[in-house]
Amino acid sequence: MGGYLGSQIPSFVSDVTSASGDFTIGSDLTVNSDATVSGGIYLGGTGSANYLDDYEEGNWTPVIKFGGNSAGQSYSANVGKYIKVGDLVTVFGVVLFANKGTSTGNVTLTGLPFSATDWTNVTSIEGGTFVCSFSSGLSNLYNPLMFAVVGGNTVANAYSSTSDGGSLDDNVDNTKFSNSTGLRFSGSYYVGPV
Amino acid sequence: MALTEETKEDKIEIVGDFKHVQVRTATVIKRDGVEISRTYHRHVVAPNADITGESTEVQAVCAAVHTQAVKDAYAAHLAAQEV
Repeated sequence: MGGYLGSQIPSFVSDVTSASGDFTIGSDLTVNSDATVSGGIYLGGTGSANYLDDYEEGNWTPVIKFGGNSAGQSYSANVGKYIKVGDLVTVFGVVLFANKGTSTGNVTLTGLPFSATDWTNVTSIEGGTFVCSFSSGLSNLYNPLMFAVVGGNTVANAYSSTSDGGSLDDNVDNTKFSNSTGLRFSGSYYVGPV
Repeated sequence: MALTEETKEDKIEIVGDFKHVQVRTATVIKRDGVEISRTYHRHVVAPNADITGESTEVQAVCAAVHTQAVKDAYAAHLAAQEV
């Protein structure tokens, strides 16, 4: 069944099923209940760049590691939310340490809900950045803590300035954290095709 | 009225050159057998990850796709990281 609906949109009072064929609607469409789309939708054009094929929201569990390890760590909270729209993932996270443990080394944020795309060979830091808009229990950092997503990976490296007036690309290690460190952050990264 | 809660891994995806295994865990609440709530939790298993805490199904997928060649390539990728 296919068809074209012009200026008059019929009011469907029961389910309408099309076994095959397309409907073309030549006017505005209002759906007063849920719409379920098994495929995707084209917005503003019919090219692949206009195609939106995924939406999802859920939870993830952020974990901080020092030198890739987390020995003896415990949290009073480590919770996260994600929203994925197409190829863009936005995350929110709260990490509140109860004990930072005994591991040493540079700080990474792990547990991301999706693997980041390695979309350019120019750099390993692909541009997805999470900024700690509110933090506590950090020392000797001269700018807000940032997490930069590593392409082709599921971790983000921690950066800030470790000297007054220094650049923002200093690695941050475990010595800047305490047993009462608390982080709140958000940001986005790319998970689509190269 | 009976409320039930079910947790299941409803999507296991293999993505990228390094075969990251993306796992979505759904928590489904049903009232008298009818779903009234569904929430998701996600995590990703990298080729170098400890998989002992994963489900047997995820472990099987990881064992299949995280070959030594993939692990070696991933290790080289990590070693070659440049800012």
